[in-house]
Amino acid sequence: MEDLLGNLGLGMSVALTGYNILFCFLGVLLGTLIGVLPGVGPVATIAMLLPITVEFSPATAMIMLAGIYYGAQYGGSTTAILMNMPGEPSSSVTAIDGYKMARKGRAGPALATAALGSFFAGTVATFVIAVFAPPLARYALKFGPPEYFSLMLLGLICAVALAHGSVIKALGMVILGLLFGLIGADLFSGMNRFTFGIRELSDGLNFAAVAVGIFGIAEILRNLENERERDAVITKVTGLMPTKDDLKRIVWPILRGTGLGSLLGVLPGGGSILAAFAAYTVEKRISKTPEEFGQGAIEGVAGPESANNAGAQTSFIPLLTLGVPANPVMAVMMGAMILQGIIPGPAVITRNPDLFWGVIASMWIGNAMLVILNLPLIGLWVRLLTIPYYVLFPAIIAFAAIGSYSIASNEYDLYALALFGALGYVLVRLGCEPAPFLLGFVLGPQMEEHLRRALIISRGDWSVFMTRPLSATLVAAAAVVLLIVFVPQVAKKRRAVFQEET
Amino acid sequence: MRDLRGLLQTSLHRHDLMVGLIFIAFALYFVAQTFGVVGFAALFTEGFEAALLDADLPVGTARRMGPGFFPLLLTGLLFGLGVILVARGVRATPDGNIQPMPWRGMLFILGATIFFGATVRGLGLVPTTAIAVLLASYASQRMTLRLAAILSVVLTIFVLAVFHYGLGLPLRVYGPWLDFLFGAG
Repeated sequence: MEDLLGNLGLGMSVALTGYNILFCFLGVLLGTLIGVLPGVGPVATIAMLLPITVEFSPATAMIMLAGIYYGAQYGGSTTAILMNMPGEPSSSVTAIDGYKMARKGRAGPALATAALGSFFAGTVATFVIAVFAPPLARYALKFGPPEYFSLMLLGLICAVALAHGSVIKALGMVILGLLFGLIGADLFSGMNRFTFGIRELSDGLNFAAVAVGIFGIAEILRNLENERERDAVITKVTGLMPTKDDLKRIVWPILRGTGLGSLLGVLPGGGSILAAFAAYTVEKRISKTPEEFGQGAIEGVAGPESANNAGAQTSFIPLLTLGVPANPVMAVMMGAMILQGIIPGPAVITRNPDLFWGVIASMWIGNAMLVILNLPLIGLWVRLLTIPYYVLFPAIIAFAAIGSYSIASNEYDLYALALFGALGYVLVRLGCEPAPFLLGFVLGPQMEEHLRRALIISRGDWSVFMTRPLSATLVAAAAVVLLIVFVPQVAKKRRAVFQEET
Repeated sequence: MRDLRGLLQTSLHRHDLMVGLIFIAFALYFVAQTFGVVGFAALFTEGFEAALLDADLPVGTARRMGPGFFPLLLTGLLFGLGVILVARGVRATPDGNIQPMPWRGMLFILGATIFFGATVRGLGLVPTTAIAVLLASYASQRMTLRLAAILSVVLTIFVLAVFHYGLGLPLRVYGPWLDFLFGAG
């Protein structure tokens, strides 16, 4: 306990320096902005800003990028409630009852509920990370190459299971990502692989270019398919404060949502989206008036909003302790850490305690800033919603181009940006999810390295993955997950769940 | 040309088939790169075992993996998944949304990106950004010349202020191709 307070104190001392507060604020501000603006996601934004943060210290860079992430979660709920247009996939659940509330003139309480729930969830999740991450990291220090390989395998399989649509396509996307991740010089032999003889590619494809292409450019192309007017925007928000009755109704949903979100956020693959869905389902099931759900039930806003914010935060746990990203945003964060020369994994906590605890402490500060940013300034964000899309996307293209170029001053990164934009668009259109691809891409080189090391240790004996207990458990878990998604009943249910979402 | 577009349009409605073919194409590409020309030919004439010896990227054994081992493992899986999808897709009825392909968007957006890469070194930050934004703007059917020009000017100033003066990125404002106008510098 004393340890915990000491560590959080260290974190506060890092997070509360003027410089870090400033960039934390810039991060959450930018995050809210992109969360509010439909069509710009956190993955593409964080990837575009990677080159800028290279100049910062690692702690400052991570604080700002993390701020963008949970800021976007916040902003996403604003558009979900006011426009029925979730800026973020995880707020699509909020839109169900939040928009109905707004239509009934209760936009204010809905927004306040989302903000309060998120803040509470963010506070709790910060402590969850502080309490559980260090022991997990200590445990993970004992991992050898076989354990790491099996862990990554489990992570990727979970990402496949939780992706939308066809499991086979998602599996293919993971493998495709892994293969593209291998482009460049081989770590062991130094031989160039799949580089088309282009010397600039021997360092591998630029991570930012791939991420921005597949998440940013592809998204713009999708929005250009059909340039329609947006739904009616509710521009007047009056009476922010929830009534006493409202407050009584949201206490338990917020608590339950926070618990569920903290737990599910750690799982690879889904994180905040899964948490929001689970919280909604739970609230609906235990409610005495389930018929109100879908008609503007305040519990349907409180639960999922708390859950997705808690989940967004605890999804940092696997990255910071195991070096395995739980979702595409964490994959980009991993890219940011690698760019800073820090290898994500259990050693971060001991080797860079200022970074680790500073980021955690900044999460709480950032969440507090978000409440202040969002509630009184809601009118400003609402006005932003009236910016037409055709003004936005040229700006995104300009930032994407400069961002991708400036990392290495390499023009091939721009060609990669265009290529992965086109490829990403076509694949998404054909029903493939980009998230498994990005996770595969970022894990590819490490997975290969651990596989090779594991088999060198075992002298080429593949059973090493099954004879070491922890590795065997992880492989078995991966196999079970894979089997479960192919069980007809589960497959049917899975389709139904994702249908509801779209 | 119209036929080609029609064909593309209809094939987009056979999701599984198309994705399967894409997976197979990528698998073949990575396998061909692993084996090289000689090895890839040997794959068909002499069989897998013999072709392994000719591979450009040594595959090695499980005990001492070469750079070709893991890629080969992955491409095998990818190929298998592609075949499953094709088999499923051939039988399936066409599905999917009837959204038209955003040809115009693809042309201008991808064009702007490639243009940026090709000219940023030669023309420099300012002219390249201005032209790339103009190009990208025209991806939207609602764009007007006036608005595109305003966007281009505003964004170029913003980019110059933030990336050049603010962050000091090592990019020349005007590149060497324009030295004849402004003098070397």
